[in-house]
Amino acid sequence: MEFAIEFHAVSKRFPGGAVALDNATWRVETGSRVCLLGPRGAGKTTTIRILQGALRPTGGSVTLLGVSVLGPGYREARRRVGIVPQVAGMYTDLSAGEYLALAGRLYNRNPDPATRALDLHEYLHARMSELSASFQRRLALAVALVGRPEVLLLDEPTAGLEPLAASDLLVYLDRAMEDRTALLCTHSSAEATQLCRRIIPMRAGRVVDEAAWEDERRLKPRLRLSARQGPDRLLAELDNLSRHGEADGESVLVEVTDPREEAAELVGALVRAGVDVYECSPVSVPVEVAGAEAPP
Amino acid sequence: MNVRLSQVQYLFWKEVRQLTRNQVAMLTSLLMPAFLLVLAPLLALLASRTSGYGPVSVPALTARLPGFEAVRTAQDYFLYETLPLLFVLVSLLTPMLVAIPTLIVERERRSLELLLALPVLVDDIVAAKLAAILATAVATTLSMFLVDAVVILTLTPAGTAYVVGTAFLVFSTLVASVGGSLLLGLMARDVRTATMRGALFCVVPLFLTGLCIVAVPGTARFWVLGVLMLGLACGAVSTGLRLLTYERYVV
Repeated sequence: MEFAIEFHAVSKRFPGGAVALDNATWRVETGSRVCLLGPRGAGKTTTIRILQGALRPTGGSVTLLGVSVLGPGYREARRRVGIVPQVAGMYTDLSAGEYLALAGRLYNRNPDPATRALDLHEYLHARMSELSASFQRRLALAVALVGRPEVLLLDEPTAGLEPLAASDLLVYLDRAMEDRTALLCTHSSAEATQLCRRIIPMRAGRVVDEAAWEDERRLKPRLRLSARQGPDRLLAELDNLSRHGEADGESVLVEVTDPREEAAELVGALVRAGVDVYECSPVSVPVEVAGAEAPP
Repeated sequence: MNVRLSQVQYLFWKEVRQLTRNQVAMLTSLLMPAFLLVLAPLLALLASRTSGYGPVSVPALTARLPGFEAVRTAQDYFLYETLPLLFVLVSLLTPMLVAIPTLIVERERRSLELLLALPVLVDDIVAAKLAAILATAVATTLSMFLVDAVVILTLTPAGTAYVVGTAFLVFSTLVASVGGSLLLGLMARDVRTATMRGALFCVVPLFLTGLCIVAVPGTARFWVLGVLMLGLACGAVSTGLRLLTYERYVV
Protein backbone atom coordinates (compact mmCIF):
# COMPACT_ATOMS: atom_id res chain seq x y z
CA MET A 1 0.00 0.00 0.00
CA GLU A 2 1.40 3.41 -0.99
CA PHE A 3 0.96 6.52 1.07
CA ALA A 4 0.92 10.02 -0.40
CA ILE A 5 1.30 11.72 2.98
CA GLU A 6 2.82 10.29 6.16
CA PHE A 7 3.14 11.99 9.53
CA HIS A 8 5.15 9.99 12.04
CA ALA A 9 5.33 11.21 15.64
CA VAL A 10 5.32 14.81 14.40
CA SER A 11 5.57 17.66 16.87
CA LYS A 12 5.63 21.36 16.23
CA ARG A 13 6.50 23.70 19.04
CA PHE A 14 6.72 27.44 18.35
CA PRO A 15 9.46 29.60 19.90
CA GLY A 16 6.97 31.07 22.40
CA GLY A 17 6.30 27.55 23.71
CA ALA A 18 2.91 26.98 22.04
CA VAL A 19 2.50 23.41 20.88
CA ALA A 20 0.67 23.15 17.54
CA LEU A 21 1.28 19.45 16.92
CA ASP A 22 1.99 16.90 19.60
CA ASN A 23 3.30 13.49 18.52
CA ALA A 24 0.84 13.29 15.62
CA THR A 25 0.93 10.09 13.59
CA TRP A 26 -1.31 9.47 10.61
CA ARG A 27 -1.08 8.76 6.93
CA VAL A 28 -3.06 9.16 3.75
CA GLU A 29 -3.22 6.36 1.26
CA THR A 30 -2.53 7.35 -2.35
CA GLY A 31 -5.78 8.13 -4.15
CA SER A 32 -7.89 8.43 -1.00
CA ARG A 33 -9.86 11.38 0.36
CA VAL A 34 -9.11 12.06 3.99
CA CYS A 35 -10.28 14.79 6.33
CA LEU A 36 -8.45 16.25 9.30
CA LEU A 37 -11.40 17.28 11.44
CA GLY A 38 -10.99 19.46 14.46
CA PRO A 39 -11.79 22.80 16.09
CA ARG A 40 -9.58 25.90 16.00
CA GLY A 41 -6.16 25.16 17.44
CA ALA A 42 -6.31 21.48 16.52
CA GLY A 43 -3.18 21.84 14.37
CA LYS A 44 -4.80 21.62 10.94
CA THR A 45 -3.23 24.74 9.45
CA THR A 46 0.15 23.87 10.98
CA THR A 47 -0.15 20.52 9.21
CA ILE A 48 -0.71 22.26 5.88
CA ARG A 49 2.15 24.68 6.61
CA ILE A 50 4.50 21.76 7.21
CA LEU A 51 3.38 20.03 4.02
CA GLN A 52 3.90 23.23 2.00
CA GLY A 53 7.41 23.56 3.42
CA ALA A 54 6.71 26.82 5.24
CA LEU A 55 7.23 25.34 8.73
CA ARG A 56 9.71 22.72 9.91
CA PRO A 57 8.52 20.10 12.37
CA THR A 58 10.39 20.17 15.68
CA GLY A 59 10.12 16.40 16.00
CA GLY A 60 9.18 13.35 13.97
CA SER A 61 9.15 12.92 10.23
CA VAL A 62 6.84 14.04 7.44
CA THR A 63 6.88 12.61 3.94
CA LEU A 64 5.01 13.92 0.93
CA LEU A 65 4.78 11.65 -2.11
CA GLY A 66 7.50 9.48 -0.59
CA VAL A 67 9.95 12.35 -0.02
CA SER A 68 10.83 13.96 3.30
CA VAL A 69 9.62 17.56 3.50
CA LEU A 70 13.12 18.44 4.72
CA GLY A 71 14.90 16.40 2.05
CA PRO A 72 16.44 17.32 -1.29
CA GLY A 73 13.62 15.95 -3.46
CA TYR A 74 10.95 17.97 -1.70
CA ARG A 75 10.85 20.79 -4.26
CA GLU A 76 9.92 18.37 -7.05
CA ALA A 77 7.32 16.64 -4.85
CA ARG A 78 5.84 20.03 -4.00
CA ARG A 79 5.22 20.70 -7.70
CA ARG A 80 2.91 17.67 -7.74
CA VAL A 81 0.73 19.17 -4.99
CA GLY A 82 -2.03 21.76 -5.22
CA ILE A 83 -2.95 23.84 -2.20
CA VAL A 84 -6.10 25.79 -1.43
CA PRO A 85 -5.17 28.09 1.47
CA GLN A 86 -7.37 29.15 4.34
CA VAL A 87 -9.14 32.50 3.77
CA ALA A 88 -6.41 34.41 1.93
CA GLY A 89 -6.29 38.16 1.44
CA MET A 90 -6.70 39.01 -2.21
CA TYR A 91 -4.42 41.34 -4.16
CA THR A 92 -5.90 44.70 -4.98
CA ASP A 93 -3.41 45.28 -7.77
CA LEU A 94 -3.47 41.96 -9.64
CA SER A 95 -6.23 40.51 -11.78
CA ALA A 96 -7.47 36.95 -11.49
CA GLY A 97 -5.95 36.25 -14.91
CA GLU A 98 -2.53 37.55 -13.85
CA TYR A 99 -2.50 35.35 -10.75
CA LEU A 100 -3.53 32.32 -12.82
CA ALA A 101 -0.85 33.16 -15.40
CA LEU A 102 1.76 33.35 -12.63
CA ALA A 103 0.69 29.91 -11.41
CA GLY A 104 0.84 28.64 -15.00
CA ARG A 105 4.43 29.88 -15.42
CA LEU A 106 5.52 28.42 -12.07
CA TYR A 107 3.96 25.03 -12.86
CA ASN A 108 4.97 25.34 -16.52
CA ARG A 109 1.39 24.48 -17.48
CA ASN A 110 -1.41 26.19 -19.36
CA PRO A 111 -3.88 27.57 -16.78
CA ASP A 112 -6.84 27.52 -19.24
CA PRO A 113 -8.20 24.03 -18.36
CA ALA A 114 -8.32 24.92 -14.65
CA THR A 115 -9.92 28.29 -15.49
CA ARG A 116 -12.62 26.55 -17.51
CA ALA A 117 -13.17 23.83 -14.90
CA LEU A 118 -13.95 26.47 -12.29
CA ASP A 119 -16.00 28.64 -14.69
CA LEU A 120 -13.74 31.63 -14.18
CA HIS A 121 -13.07 32.63 -17.80
CA GLU A 122 -15.42 35.64 -17.59
CA TYR A 123 -13.64 37.02 -14.54
CA LEU A 124 -10.02 36.92 -15.67
CA HIS A 125 -9.79 40.71 -16.01
CA ALA A 126 -11.38 41.43 -12.63
CA ARG A 127 -9.10 42.50 -9.78
CA MET A 128 -8.76 39.66 -7.31
CA SER A 129 -10.03 41.76 -4.43
CA GLU A 130 -13.16 42.70 -6.39
CA LEU A 131 -14.28 39.10 -6.87
CA SER A 132 -16.99 37.83 -4.53
CA ALA A 133 -15.85 35.55 -1.69
CA SER A 134 -17.19 32.55 -3.56
CA PHE A 135 -15.26 33.42 -6.75
CA GLN A 136 -12.12 34.11 -4.70
CA ARG A 137 -12.28 30.53 -3.39
CA ARG A 138 -12.89 29.21 -6.86
CA LEU A 139 -9.85 31.16 -8.05
CA ALA A 140 -7.75 29.63 -5.25
CA LEU A 141 -9.01 26.18 -6.25
CA ALA A 142 -8.29 26.87 -9.94
CA VAL A 143 -4.70 27.86 -9.09
CA ALA A 144 -4.30 24.67 -7.06
CA LEU A 145 -5.46 22.68 -10.10
CA VAL A 146 -3.25 24.44 -12.70
CA GLY A 147 -0.40 21.96 -12.18
CA ARG A 148 -2.76 18.95 -12.44
CA PRO A 149 -1.68 17.88 -8.97
CA GLU A 150 -1.58 14.34 -7.68
CA VAL A 151 -2.30 15.58 -4.18
CA LEU A 152 -4.75 18.31 -3.22
CA LEU A 153 -4.49 20.01 0.18
CA LEU A 154 -7.56 21.99 1.20
CA ASP A 155 -7.38 24.20 4.28
CA GLU A 156 -10.89 25.21 5.43
CA PRO A 157 -11.96 25.91 1.84
CA THR A 158 -15.50 27.03 2.70
CA ALA A 159 -14.78 28.95 5.92
CA GLY A 160 -16.64 32.25 6.07
CA LEU A 161 -18.79 31.60 2.99
CA GLU A 162 -22.56 32.05 2.91
CA PRO A 163 -24.38 28.68 3.03
CA LEU A 164 -25.41 28.85 -0.63
CA ALA A 165 -21.91 29.81 -1.79
CA ALA A 166 -20.42 27.08 0.40
CA SER A 167 -22.67 24.42 -1.06
CA ASP A 168 -21.82 25.65 -4.60
CA LEU A 169 -18.13 25.41 -3.80
CA LEU A 170 -18.56 21.90 -2.39
CA VAL A 171 -19.67 20.75 -5.85
CA TYR A 172 -16.45 22.12 -7.38
CA LEU A 173 -14.38 20.66 -4.54
CA ASP A 174 -15.96 17.25 -4.96
CA ARG A 175 -15.14 17.33 -8.66
CA ALA A 176 -11.59 18.55 -8.01
CA MET A 177 -10.95 15.78 -5.49
CA GLU A 178 -11.91 13.05 -7.98
CA ASP A 179 -9.12 10.66 -8.97
CA ARG A 180 -6.48 12.22 -6.76
CA THR A 181 -5.30 12.10 -3.19
CA ALA A 182 -7.03 14.81 -1.19
CA LEU A 183 -6.53 16.04 2.35
CA LEU A 184 -9.29 18.31 3.60
CA CYS A 185 -8.80 20.26 6.82
CA THR A 186 -12.04 21.49 8.29
CA HIS A 187 -13.97 22.07 11.50
CA SER A 188 -17.23 21.08 9.83
CA SER A 189 -18.22 17.45 10.28
CA ALA A 190 -20.95 17.87 7.65
CA GLU A 191 -18.39 18.97 5.10
CA ALA A 192 -16.05 16.20 6.15
CA THR A 193 -18.64 13.49 5.72
CA GLN A 194 -19.82 14.91 2.42
CA LEU A 195 -16.39 15.09 0.81
CA CYS A 196 -14.21 12.46 2.47
CA ARG A 197 -14.09 8.72 2.90
CA ARG A 198 -12.10 8.81 6.11
CA ILE A 199 -11.90 11.25 8.99
CA ILE A 200 -8.93 11.80 11.26
CA PRO A 201 -10.15 13.70 14.31
CA MET A 202 -7.65 16.12 15.85
CA ARG A 203 -7.68 18.15 19.02
CA ALA A 204 -4.99 20.38 20.52
CA GLY A 205 -2.38 19.07 18.11
CA ARG A 206 -3.06 15.42 18.82
CA VAL A 207 -4.79 12.79 16.73
CA VAL A 208 -7.75 11.55 18.68
CA ASP A 209 -8.26 7.80 18.65
CA GLU A 210 -10.91 7.36 15.98
CA ALA A 211 -12.97 4.70 17.77
CA ALA A 212 -12.85 6.54 21.10
CA TRP A 213 -13.82 9.73 19.32
CA GLU A 214 -16.84 8.01 17.78
CA ASP A 215 -17.90 6.63 21.18
CA GLU A 216 -17.48 10.03 22.74
CA ARG A 217 -19.62 11.62 20.04
CA ARG A 218 -22.36 9.05 20.59
CA LEU A 219 -22.35 9.18 24.38
CA LYS A 220 -21.91 12.84 25.14
CA PRO A 221 -25.07 14.94 25.06
CA ARG A 222 -24.79 18.00 22.88
CA LEU A 223 -26.62 21.18 22.04
CA ARG A 224 -27.17 22.40 18.52
CA LEU A 225 -26.74 26.16 18.32
CA SER A 226 -27.32 28.46 15.38
CA ALA A 227 -26.68 32.19 15.23
CA ARG A 228 -27.33 34.98 12.77
CA GLN A 229 -23.58 35.68 12.54
CA GLY A 230 -22.81 32.11 11.39
CA PRO A 231 -20.82 29.19 12.79
CA ASP A 232 -17.39 30.84 12.72
CA ARG A 233 -18.44 33.61 15.11
CA LEU A 234 -20.24 31.08 17.31
CA LEU A 235 -17.14 28.90 17.48
CA ALA A 236 -14.97 31.90 18.31
CA GLU A 237 -17.25 32.94 21.19
CA LEU A 238 -17.50 29.36 22.45
CA ASP A 239 -13.70 29.28 22.47
CA ASN A 240 -13.76 32.44 24.60
CA LEU A 241 -16.18 30.69 26.96
CA SER A 242 -13.80 27.69 27.08
CA ARG A 243 -16.44 25.46 25.50
CA HIS A 244 -15.66 22.98 22.76
CA GLY A 245 -17.83 23.40 19.69
CA GLU A 246 -17.85 21.67 16.33
CA ALA A 247 -19.36 23.14 13.18
CA ASP A 248 -22.10 21.11 11.55
CA GLY A 249 -23.26 22.94 8.46
CA GLU A 250 -24.59 26.29 9.58
CA SER A 251 -24.98 25.11 13.19
CA VAL A 252 -22.50 24.32 15.90
CA LEU A 253 -22.65 21.27 18.14
CA VAL A 254 -21.52 21.91 21.71
CA GLU A 255 -20.74 19.19 24.20
CA VAL A 256 -22.58 19.60 27.48
CA THR A 257 -23.10 17.56 30.62
CA ASP A 258 -26.77 18.36 31.10
CA PRO A 259 -28.50 20.07 28.18
CA ARG A 260 -31.45 21.29 30.27
CA GLU A 261 -29.26 22.86 32.91
CA GLU A 262 -26.67 24.40 30.62
CA ALA A 263 -28.68 25.58 27.63
CA ALA A 264 -30.07 28.77 29.17
CA GLU A 265 -26.75 29.70 30.74
CA LEU A 266 -24.85 29.14 27.49
CA VAL A 267 -27.33 31.05 25.32
CA GLY A 268 -27.33 33.89 27.86
CA ALA A 269 -23.54 34.13 27.76
CA LEU A 270 -23.50 34.10 23.95
CA VAL A 271 -26.20 36.78 23.70
CA ARG A 272 -24.28 38.94 26.20
CA ALA A 273 -21.23 38.55 23.95
CA GLY A 274 -23.27 39.96 21.04
CA VAL A 275 -24.08 36.69 19.26
CA ASP A 276 -27.68 36.52 18.00
CA VAL A 277 -28.57 32.92 18.78
CA TYR A 278 -31.80 31.84 17.08
CA GLU A 279 -31.66 28.09 17.67
CA CYS A 280 -30.71 25.99 20.68
CA SER A 281 -31.87 22.40 20.86
CA PRO A 282 -30.56 19.18 22.42
CA VAL A 283 -29.10 16.68 19.97
CA SER A 284 -30.38 13.17 20.56
CA VAL A 285 -29.25 11.49 17.35
CA PRO A 286 -25.50 11.47 16.84
CA VAL A 287 -23.95 12.66 13.60
CA GLU A 288 -22.57 9.55 11.96
CA VAL A 289 -19.25 9.51 10.25
CA ALA A 290 -20.05 7.74 7.01
CA GLY A 291 -17.54 5.23 5.78
CA ALA A 292 -15.01 5.87 8.53
CA GLU A 293 -12.16 3.40 8.36
CA ALA A 294 -9.85 2.17 11.03
CA PRO A 295 -7.00 4.53 11.89
CA PRO A 296 -3.59 3.68 10.43
CA MET B 1 19.18 29.25 1.16
CA ASN B 2 17.51 26.99 -1.35
CA VAL B 3 16.29 29.07 -4.28
CA ARG B 4 15.54 28.25 -7.91
CA LEU B 5 16.27 31.19 -10.19
CA SER B 6 13.52 30.51 -12.72
CA GLN B 7 10.89 30.50 -9.96
CA VAL B 8 12.40 33.58 -8.30
CA GLN B 9 12.37 35.37 -11.65
CA TYR B 10 8.60 34.90 -12.11
CA LEU B 11 7.90 36.00 -8.55
CA PHE B 12 10.27 38.97 -8.97
CA TRP B 13 8.33 40.35 -11.94
CA LYS B 14 5.08 39.89 -10.05
CA GLU B 15 6.52 41.98 -7.19
CA VAL B 16 7.84 44.67 -9.54
CA ARG B 17 4.49 44.84 -11.34
CA GLN B 18 2.68 45.31 -8.04
CA LEU B 19 5.17 47.94 -6.85
CA THR B 20 4.86 50.00 -10.00
CA ARG B 21 1.08 49.88 -9.64
CA ASN B 22 1.26 51.00 -6.02
CA GLN B 23 0.98 54.77 -6.33
CA VAL B 24 1.76 55.50 -2.68
CA ALA B 25 4.90 53.37 -2.71
CA MET B 26 6.09 54.81 -6.00
CA LEU B 27 5.40 58.42 -4.99
CA THR B 28 7.22 58.11 -1.67
CA SER B 29 10.14 56.23 -3.18
CA LEU B 30 10.46 58.84 -5.95
CA LEU B 31 9.67 62.09 -4.16
CA MET B 32 11.96 61.59 -1.18
CA PRO B 33 15.08 60.91 -3.30
CA ALA B 34 14.02 63.67 -5.72
CA PHE B 35 14.10 66.23 -2.90
CA LEU B 36 17.07 64.95 -0.95
CA LEU B 37 19.19 63.62 -3.77
CA VAL B 38 18.51 66.05 -6.61
CA LEU B 39 16.87 69.26 -5.49
CA ALA B 40 18.77 69.88 -2.24
CA PRO B 41 22.29 69.15 -3.63
CA LEU B 42 21.60 71.05 -6.84
CA LEU B 43 20.46 74.16 -4.98
CA ALA B 44 23.27 73.89 -2.43
CA LEU B 45 25.95 73.49 -5.11
CA LEU B 46 24.56 76.35 -7.16
CA ALA B 47 24.41 78.52 -4.05
CA SER B 48 27.98 77.57 -3.11
CA ARG B 49 29.18 79.17 -6.37
CA THR B 50 27.65 82.53 -5.54
CA SER B 51 29.67 85.35 -4.06
CA GLY B 52 28.04 85.07 -0.63
CA TYR B 53 29.74 81.72 -0.11
CA GLY B 54 33.47 81.56 0.32
CA PRO B 55 36.02 80.11 2.67
CA VAL B 56 34.79 78.59 5.90
CA SER B 57 36.63 78.84 9.17
CA VAL B 58 36.60 75.42 10.79
CA PRO B 59 37.18 75.62 14.57
CA ALA B 60 40.72 74.64 15.50
CA LEU B 61 39.74 71.50 17.40
CA THR B 62 37.47 70.32 14.57
CA ALA B 63 40.10 71.09 11.95
CA ARG B 64 42.40 68.55 13.59
CA LEU B 65 39.94 65.75 12.75
CA PRO B 66 41.06 63.83 9.62
CA GLY B 67 37.63 64.24 8.04
CA PHE B 68 37.92 68.01 8.03
CA GLU B 69 41.45 68.40 6.72
CA ALA B 70 40.31 69.06 3.12
CA VAL B 71 37.51 71.43 4.09
CA ARG B 72 38.41 74.96 3.02
CA THR B 73 35.24 76.33 1.45
CA ALA B 74 31.49 76.05 1.93
CA GLN B 75 31.42 73.86 -1.17
CA ASP B 76 34.01 71.49 0.38
CA TYR B 77 31.92 71.39 3.52
CA PHE B 78 28.81 70.45 1.56
CA LEU B 79 30.61 67.89 -0.62
CA TYR B 80 32.50 66.10 2.15
CA GLU B 81 30.39 66.58 5.27
CA THR B 82 26.73 67.11 4.29
CA LEU B 83 26.25 65.32 0.97
CA PRO B 84 27.49 61.87 2.16
CA LEU B 85 24.93 62.05 4.96
CA LEU B 86 22.17 62.80 2.44
CA PHE B 87 23.35 59.93 0.22
CA VAL B 88 23.24 57.51 3.15
CA LEU B 89 19.89 58.76 4.42
CA VAL B 90 18.18 58.41 1.04
CA SER B 91 19.77 55.04 0.31
CA LEU B 92 18.66 53.74 3.71
CA LEU B 93 15.10 54.98 3.55
CA THR B 94 14.16 54.22 -0.07
CA PRO B 95 14.41 50.39 0.17
CA MET B 96 12.58 50.44 3.50
CA LEU B 97 9.72 52.46 1.98
CA VAL B 98 9.50 49.88 -0.79
CA ALA B 99 9.85 46.98 1.66
CA ILE B 100 6.78 47.93 3.67
CA PRO B 101 4.21 47.14 0.94
CA THR B 102 6.25 44.25 -0.42
CA LEU B 103 7.02 42.41 2.80
CA ILE B 104 4.85 43.71 5.61
CA VAL B 105 1.55 44.59 3.92
CA GLU B 106 1.60 41.26 2.10
CA ARG B 107 1.67 39.45 5.42
CA GLU B 108 -0.70 41.84 7.17
CA ARG B 109 -3.37 41.41 4.47
CA ARG B 110 -2.85 37.62 4.44
CA SER B 111 -2.17 37.67 0.70
CA LEU B 112 1.07 35.84 1.52
CA GLU B 113 -1.17 32.74 1.66
CA LEU B 114 -1.63 33.09 -2.10
CA LEU B 115 2.11 32.86 -2.66
CA LEU B 116 2.60 29.99 -0.23
CA ALA B 117 -0.05 28.05 -2.20
CA LEU B 118 2.11 28.25 -5.35
CA PRO B 119 4.77 25.61 -6.13
CA VAL B 120 7.61 27.64 -4.61
CA LEU B 121 9.52 27.61 -1.34
CA VAL B 122 9.52 30.42 1.21
CA ASP B 123 13.17 30.98 0.20
CA ASP B 124 12.04 31.75 -3.37
CA ILE B 125 9.36 34.15 -2.16
CA VAL B 126 11.70 36.08 0.15
CA ALA B 127 14.53 36.15 -2.43
CA ALA B 128 12.14 37.53 -5.08
CA LYS B 129 10.84 40.18 -2.71
CA LEU B 130 14.33 41.30 -1.68
CA ALA B 131 15.46 41.40 -5.33
CA ALA B 132 12.41 43.49 -6.24
CA ILE B 133 13.06 45.90 -3.35
CA LEU B 134 16.71 46.28 -4.38
CA ALA B 135 15.89 46.69 -8.09
CA THR B 136 13.24 49.34 -7.44
CA ALA B 137 15.45 51.21 -5.00
CA VAL B 138 18.45 51.06 -7.35
CA ALA B 139 16.33 52.24 -10.29
CA THR B 140 15.02 55.28 -8.42
CA THR B 141 18.08 56.18 -6.34
CA LEU B 142 20.90 55.57 -8.80
CA SER B 143 19.07 57.33 -11.64
CA MET B 144 18.79 60.42 -9.46
CA PHE B 145 22.37 60.00 -8.33
CA LEU B 146 23.39 60.29 -11.98
CA VAL B 147 21.98 63.83 -11.99
CA ASP B 148 24.13 64.57 -8.94
CA ALA B 149 27.16 63.07 -10.66
CA VAL B 150 26.77 65.34 -13.65
CA VAL B 151 26.21 68.38 -11.45
CA ILE B 152 29.21 67.56 -9.24
CA LEU B 153 31.49 67.00 -12.23
CA THR B 154 30.41 70.22 -13.93
CA LEU B 155 30.00 72.60 -11.01
CA THR B 156 32.69 71.48 -8.58
CA PRO B 157 36.36 70.58 -8.65
CA ALA B 158 35.58 67.17 -7.09
CA GLY B 159 36.65 64.73 -9.78
CA THR B 160 35.75 61.27 -10.94
CA ALA B 161 37.20 59.68 -7.79
CA TYR B 162 34.58 61.51 -5.72
CA VAL B 163 31.72 60.40 -7.98
CA VAL B 164 32.87 56.77 -8.13
CA GLY B 165 33.37 56.69 -4.35
CA THR B 166 29.92 58.11 -3.63
CA ALA B 167 28.33 55.77 -6.20
CA PHE B 168 29.86 52.83 -4.33
CA LEU B 169 28.58 54.28 -1.06
CA VAL B 170 25.05 54.72 -2.41
CA PHE B 171 24.94 51.20 -3.82
CA SER B 172 26.38 49.53 -0.70
CA THR B 173 23.95 51.47 1.51
CA LEU B 174 21.06 50.31 -0.67
CA VAL B 175 22.26 46.73 -0.18
CA ALA B 176 22.55 47.28 3.60
CA SER B 177 19.06 48.69 3.69
CA VAL B 178 17.69 45.68 1.80
CA GLY B 179 19.37 43.45 4.41
CA GLY B 180 17.72 45.57 7.11
CA SER B 181 14.41 45.21 5.29
CA LEU B 182 14.71 41.44 5.59
CA LEU B 183 15.11 41.78 9.36
CA LEU B 184 12.23 44.24 9.39
CA GLY B 185 10.03 41.80 7.50
CA LEU B 186 10.88 39.03 9.94
CA MET B 187 10.50 41.11 13.10
CA ALA B 188 7.63 43.53 12.46
CA ARG B 189 4.12 42.13 12.55
CA ASP B 190 2.42 45.16 10.99
CA VAL B 191 3.06 48.44 9.20
CA ARG B 192 3.04 50.48 12.41
CA THR B 193 5.73 48.35 14.06
CA ALA B 194 7.67 48.26 10.81
CA THR B 195 7.75 52.06 10.63
CA MET B 196 9.00 52.35 14.20
CA ARG B 197 11.59 49.59 13.88
CA GLY B 198 12.67 50.85 10.47
CA ALA B 199 13.68 54.13 12.08
CA LEU B 200 15.63 52.20 14.74
CA PHE B 201 17.45 50.19 12.07
CA CYS B 202 18.81 53.47 10.66
CA VAL B 203 20.59 54.37 13.91
CA VAL B 204 23.70 52.17 13.44
CA PRO B 205 24.36 53.08 9.76
CA LEU B 206 23.87 56.77 10.50
CA PHE B 207 26.21 56.58 13.48
CA LEU B 208 28.85 54.87 11.29
CA THR B 209 28.33 57.56 8.67
CA GLY B 210 28.96 60.32 11.18
CA LEU B 211 32.05 58.49 12.42
CA CYS B 212 33.50 58.05 8.92
CA ILE B 213 32.75 61.65 7.97
CA VAL B 214 34.82 63.00 10.84
CA ALA B 215 37.46 60.29 11.06
CA VAL B 216 38.35 59.29 7.49
CA PRO B 217 40.03 61.85 5.18
CA GLY B 218 39.09 62.70 1.60
CA THR B 219 37.28 60.29 -0.69
CA ALA B 220 38.55 57.31 1.31
CA ARG B 221 35.59 57.87 3.65
CA PHE B 222 33.18 56.71 0.92
CA TRP B 223 35.03 53.43 0.42
CA VAL B 224 35.43 52.75 4.15
CA LEU B 225 31.80 53.54 4.82
CA GLY B 226 30.69 51.52 1.79
CA VAL B 227 32.56 48.46 3.05
CA LEU B 228 31.03 48.94 6.51
CA MET B 229 27.58 49.09 4.91
CA LEU B 230 28.23 45.83 3.06
CA GLY B 231 29.32 44.35 6.41
CA LEU B 232 26.02 45.47 7.94
CA ALA B 233 24.16 43.91 5.01
CA CYS B 234 25.94 40.57 5.55
CA GLY B 235 25.21 40.76 9.29
CA ALA B 236 21.52 41.49 8.71
CA VAL B 237 21.05 38.71 6.15
CA SER B 238 22.98 36.21 8.26
CA THR B 239 20.94 37.10 11.37
CA GLY B 240 17.74 36.85 9.35
CA LEU B 241 18.59 33.42 7.95
CA ARG B 242 20.15 31.82 11.04
CA LEU B 243 18.51 33.30 14.10
CA LEU B 244 15.10 34.55 13.09
CA THR B 245 14.31 32.08 10.25
CA TYR B 246 11.51 32.45 7.74
CA GLU B 247 9.00 30.81 10.08
CA ARG B 248 8.52 34.22 11.65
CA TYR B 249 7.48 35.55 8.30
CA VAL B 250 4.85 32.94 7.50
CA VAL B 251 3.32 32.31 10.92
